[in-house]
Amino acid sequence: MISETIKIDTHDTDRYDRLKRYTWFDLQKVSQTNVLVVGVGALGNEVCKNLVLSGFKRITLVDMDDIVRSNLNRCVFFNEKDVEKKKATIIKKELKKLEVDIDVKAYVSRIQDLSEDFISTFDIVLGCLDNISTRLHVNAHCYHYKIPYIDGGTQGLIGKVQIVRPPNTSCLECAMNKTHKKIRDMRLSCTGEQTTFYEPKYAADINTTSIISAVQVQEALKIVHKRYDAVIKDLFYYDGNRNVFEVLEVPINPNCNHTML
Amino acid sequence: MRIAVKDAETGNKINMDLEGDNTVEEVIEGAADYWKKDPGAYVLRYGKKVLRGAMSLDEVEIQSNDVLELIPDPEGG
Repeated sequence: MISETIKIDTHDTDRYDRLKRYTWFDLQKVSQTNVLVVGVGALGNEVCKNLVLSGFKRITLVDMDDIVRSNLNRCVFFNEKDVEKKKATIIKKELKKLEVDIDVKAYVSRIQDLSEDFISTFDIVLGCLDNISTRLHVNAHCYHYKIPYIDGGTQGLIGKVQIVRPPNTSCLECAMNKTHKKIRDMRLSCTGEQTTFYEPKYAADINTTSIISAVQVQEALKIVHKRYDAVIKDLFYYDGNRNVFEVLEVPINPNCNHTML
Repeated sequence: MRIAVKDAETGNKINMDLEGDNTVEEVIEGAADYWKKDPGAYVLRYGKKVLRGAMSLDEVEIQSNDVLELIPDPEGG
């Protein structure tokens, strides 16, 4: 006796069908996660693309920069016609084309100029920055509010992703030394604003950017699903010159201002 | 103690004669200066562990003949 009727060929009508084939994937959990992306240059473009394609629907962007032509080799959402427009504004518009049913907020601002408790309103933060100073600001606030912070960085064919899960792991500052202090305020890839002093820029390309941003979003998915055993501990390091992919440990610094609190 | 420091970017290696109370930062700066590395952030790793800059070689348990690696810490985006 036939007890139920099923439909065939529905698997290709569901946008998220292939994600749902991960037994652990929970679209409701992902879509309800409130994500903050700080910096929407090269890494931020790719991270935002991957977040939306992975089912995230509540995304806030913070970036103060204008788009310049030199961004176009590695920022998928920016075109010639967007030059001199604000990165955050354009990304917000472009993400809505990828998926209409998303809630994207864009702040054209430095993250440091937003309220002290701004970061506390998020479930997870992805750092896509090009300078150490802002990274430290985000790191400090995430650690204080115990919000997971997934920080990406690139330099030519080299990249890294550090996963900060307070209070269980080291923070960004735990791994830093005097060489970081020397370049703390330098903008290393993007510009988009008037600069008074020449600051040499690193080489930057879409390929390294794509690898690093993909790992960032992948780790975000693991954290959202509480798959903590699978989360990278602590640093994913990639070197395309030597064809190296490694996971490195960053011990907690007991004298660090953040981890010791 | 004598340790070896390897430049991950070039594969070059140097020996450094150090004391146990020399810090990781001193090793980084010494190696980076010697190789005239571009301005930027660098970290020192020992195996799979990133060493804390302010710690002494004794505190991070580095011993004579150990090989440390100087790697760039990418901060662009």
